[in-house]
Amino acid sequence: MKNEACTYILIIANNDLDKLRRTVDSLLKQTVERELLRILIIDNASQNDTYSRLIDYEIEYPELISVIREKKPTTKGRLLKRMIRHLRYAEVGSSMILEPGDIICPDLIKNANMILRLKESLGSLIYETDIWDGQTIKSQTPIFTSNCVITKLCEDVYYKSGIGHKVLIFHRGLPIGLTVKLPYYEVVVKSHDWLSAAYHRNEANGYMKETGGCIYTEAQDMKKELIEWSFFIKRNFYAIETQVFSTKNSLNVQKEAVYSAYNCLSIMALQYAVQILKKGAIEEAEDILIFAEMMNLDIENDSRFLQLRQAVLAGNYEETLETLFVVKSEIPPRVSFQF
Amino acid sequence: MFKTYSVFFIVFVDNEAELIDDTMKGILGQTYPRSEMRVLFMDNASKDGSYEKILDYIQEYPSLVSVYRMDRPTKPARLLKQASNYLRFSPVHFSMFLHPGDRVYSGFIEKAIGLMHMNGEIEAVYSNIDICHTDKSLEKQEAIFTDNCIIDKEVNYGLFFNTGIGAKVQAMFRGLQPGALERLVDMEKRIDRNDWMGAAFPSEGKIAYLTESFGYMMERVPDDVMFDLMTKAYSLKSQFYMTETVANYTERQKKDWADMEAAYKCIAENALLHAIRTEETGDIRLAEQCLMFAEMMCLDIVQDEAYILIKKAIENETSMQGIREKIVKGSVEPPRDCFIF
Amino acid sequence: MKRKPLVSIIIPNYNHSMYLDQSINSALNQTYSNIEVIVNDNASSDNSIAVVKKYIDQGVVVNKNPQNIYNFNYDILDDSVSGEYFVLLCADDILKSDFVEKAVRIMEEYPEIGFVHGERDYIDEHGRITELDPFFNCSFRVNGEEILPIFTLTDIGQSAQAVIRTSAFVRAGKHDTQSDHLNIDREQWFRLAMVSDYAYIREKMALIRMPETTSETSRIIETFYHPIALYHTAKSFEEWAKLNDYPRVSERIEVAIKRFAKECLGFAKVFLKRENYELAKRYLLFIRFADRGIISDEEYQKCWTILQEKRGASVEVDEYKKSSNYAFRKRNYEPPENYVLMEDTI
Repeated sequence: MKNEACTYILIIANNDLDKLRRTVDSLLKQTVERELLRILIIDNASQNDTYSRLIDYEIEYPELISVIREKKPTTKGRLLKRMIRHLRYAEVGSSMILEPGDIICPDLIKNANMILRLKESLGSLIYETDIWDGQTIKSQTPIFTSNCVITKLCEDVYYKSGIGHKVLIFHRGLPIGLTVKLPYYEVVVKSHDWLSAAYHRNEANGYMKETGGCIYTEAQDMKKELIEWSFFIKRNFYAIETQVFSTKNSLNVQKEAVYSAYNCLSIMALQYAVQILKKGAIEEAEDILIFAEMMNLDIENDSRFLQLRQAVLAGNYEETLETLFVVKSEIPPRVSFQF
Repeated sequence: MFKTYSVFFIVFVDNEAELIDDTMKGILGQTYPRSEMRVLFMDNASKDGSYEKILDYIQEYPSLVSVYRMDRPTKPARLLKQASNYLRFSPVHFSMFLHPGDRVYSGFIEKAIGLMHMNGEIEAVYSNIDICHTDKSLEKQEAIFTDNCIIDKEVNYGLFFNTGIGAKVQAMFRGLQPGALERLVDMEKRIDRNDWMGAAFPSEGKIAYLTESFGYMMERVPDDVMFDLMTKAYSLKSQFYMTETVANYTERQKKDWADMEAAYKCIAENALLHAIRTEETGDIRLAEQCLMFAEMMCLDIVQDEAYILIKKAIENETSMQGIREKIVKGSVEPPRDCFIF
Repeated sequence: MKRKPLVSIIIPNYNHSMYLDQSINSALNQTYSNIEVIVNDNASSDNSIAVVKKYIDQGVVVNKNPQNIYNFNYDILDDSVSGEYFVLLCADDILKSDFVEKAVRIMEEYPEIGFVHGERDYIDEHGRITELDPFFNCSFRVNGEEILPIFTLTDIGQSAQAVIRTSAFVRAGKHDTQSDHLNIDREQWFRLAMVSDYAYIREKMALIRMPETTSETSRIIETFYHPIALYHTAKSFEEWAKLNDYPRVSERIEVAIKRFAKECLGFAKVFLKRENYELAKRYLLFIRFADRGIISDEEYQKCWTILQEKRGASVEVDEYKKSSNYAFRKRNYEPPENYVLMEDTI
């Protein structure tokens, strides 16, 4: 009594149906066989008109699109949990979480499925992505210089660089591991964050240098983001930092990861501070500097930090500040392997 | 944030206090590091002191042993479901399901985990075991295959029904088998986990089989043999529902049909084995029922030598000596496409 | 009734678009005011969603499974139950407008009662109604343990005839398709009766769709699934009875199995008539397996002879699918022991 394993795209709908259309259109253009693709959309208790139009989608593409509705508005984490639970009897070969407005390259699903079939040890594939903010498209500097497999032995890469970097994650099966860790997601649902790939750090994950698509993200409240990331890191390292459980067995790589994470977050904050200073919000830039120091006390020995602090205190934005924190692609860690 | 313990032993206890020590000895004697193991006792609301005994073990080995007690007695299927549910926040790398009285020999865990580390495709490691009779004597079983081998379940699905009739095995699973958290395949929940036939479910993935005996199990005969057989038949029916109801014949379905017939034949032969066992108890009614059941599940079995001999023995009240060997064949060679090691 | 707790009416649907208007309307038109209606679509390939869409302005919600997950849909729809009470209304059935009100009133007054059955008539695919004899001869409420033995033999009512208290349902283990699969209703009532009390309303409260042919039933009979499932369920009840000490249930099991065996005789005849001798043989074997004494039954002996002589065409029997067969069953049984009459409260 078995269905064929399909690729599931999970989408949390909001009131912006134009963006949703954009995403669905890119899925309709996928080269993978249509019968092996499913889209599950959850409606977060929207007003009747939106729900009605979502149902129209279902009617238009009966075998492709399914809609479920959450009666009372709730957090993203709970919505995701509900979607995953709804699929617990379905045959899910692979899945992706997308937001309305995201688009993916037409070959992505087909190629990703093929790679996962060939490399059975991989739990997911992490693709680079461009970012669209509603007006312009920006590309990012890839995290690594080539494709590689990130295993448990080098799990600190998630924290060493790329906090704030966006990616597209293609999971094998359902992202079930998330349901265990979803309480964090209640606050910090960032399915497109490189940092969130750390949720899957118990598996081997394939990093793909190529761009898999273009995600949509609105301009963020930077301070809020920074706090969320620090919360995420704190939660992840709770056991190590508080020594609740015996640290005898913690790998050294984990201890290093803690330090790397805070250092990286600090640097990220400083990057933001530059942007904010450019916009002229001096007080906010000061706050962020404080945050950066709070996260990593050593940063005050960093000459770049000192330079930036001077500029902020003087209220002077200079072009040279941009080059202080340029991000480069790194060579994949030695314990990872290429593919 | 959570430490992953490599191996979880899950033991269902139902008023079997006197057998717990034996099982614990096996676990404590493992060569695999104790800090990497955990034992979860699922107590089915026992009233014979089992729970108290488990609590004693917890006091003695606090970081090794844990317990969950049901508030009212329930069926094995639901115990299994509850155990899965209870462990849903504990990342489990490997698991083994034991009955009290079963003993795992000291090298098994290390060997099985070693195998699964080397080959990421292996979902479970099965091994031959001895049978411990009620008088504490150990009976050796002949291995199912002549060599250790790795079997691809999807390609060799029928193998689990064509070989090892009546054979008992033990298994270590990768992760919290059987199946994903929410999907316990019917067979897994009813089949005695020590049945070789049970290895067929779920039907994907690869398993390894070791010919050496790595443990023993307490001999267990179901109280209600007919219920046991019928439930297995029911599980098989569910499993092959699609195969039986689809009218069109493709290559794949031809293979499924052959597997299905092998499965029904296997369960019919199991019924015959039960019939032979009735010689000790003198339960002729049960023997006759077993024959009827066998024919009902596999009409052709009436032509099998074993069936005919059993029927004659019942009618003439003669001995059934030697008939078992006609059903339980010796070790066979693994299929050609299996990897031998 | 002072309190009006929420009642969820869940409608599992698979390709029943032709009946959905009737079932949804019967849910929306309940006299009880605090109701939510949720349709759980099991990946229908017909225009079910378009039909449901007409009602979303009235608050009806439809959740769709991306793939058909067979009976596991029952487990999935458990998630949709948020009311204190709920009804599982099959998409092709129809509720009477005051059913929920009457049932909830009883359960609000008697907190120990976990589920209430109403009576039913059958309706076929053309809308023709077949009136049935009520199962019991009066309305009553009774301790759960007293009604248990009856569920070993029959389900009394189907899903659409029951309003269930959600908390009792949770205590009973909710839907458990992996364990129950077929005979879902009966297993569910049995488990509910183990943890709560029962009430029965002798009034016709639902119209249950019984078309001339139901393909699912045919399939399970013709693949020899049916008798195995029946036997398994009976023994499964026996297992519960042993675990929880219900001697009266244990006594009834053998009777139940013999009753099923007799029922299978009818199927055996049908297959003999169709000259499907292999299947007929399996059924005849099952009957003897389940009821030793049947060897002396004349009808049974006749069937064996016909099988051996391969004279199936000579058998006289109606095909098992006709719904009109049920009109002639006489019931109106006495309620179980220690019941409390309930005429006045309804």
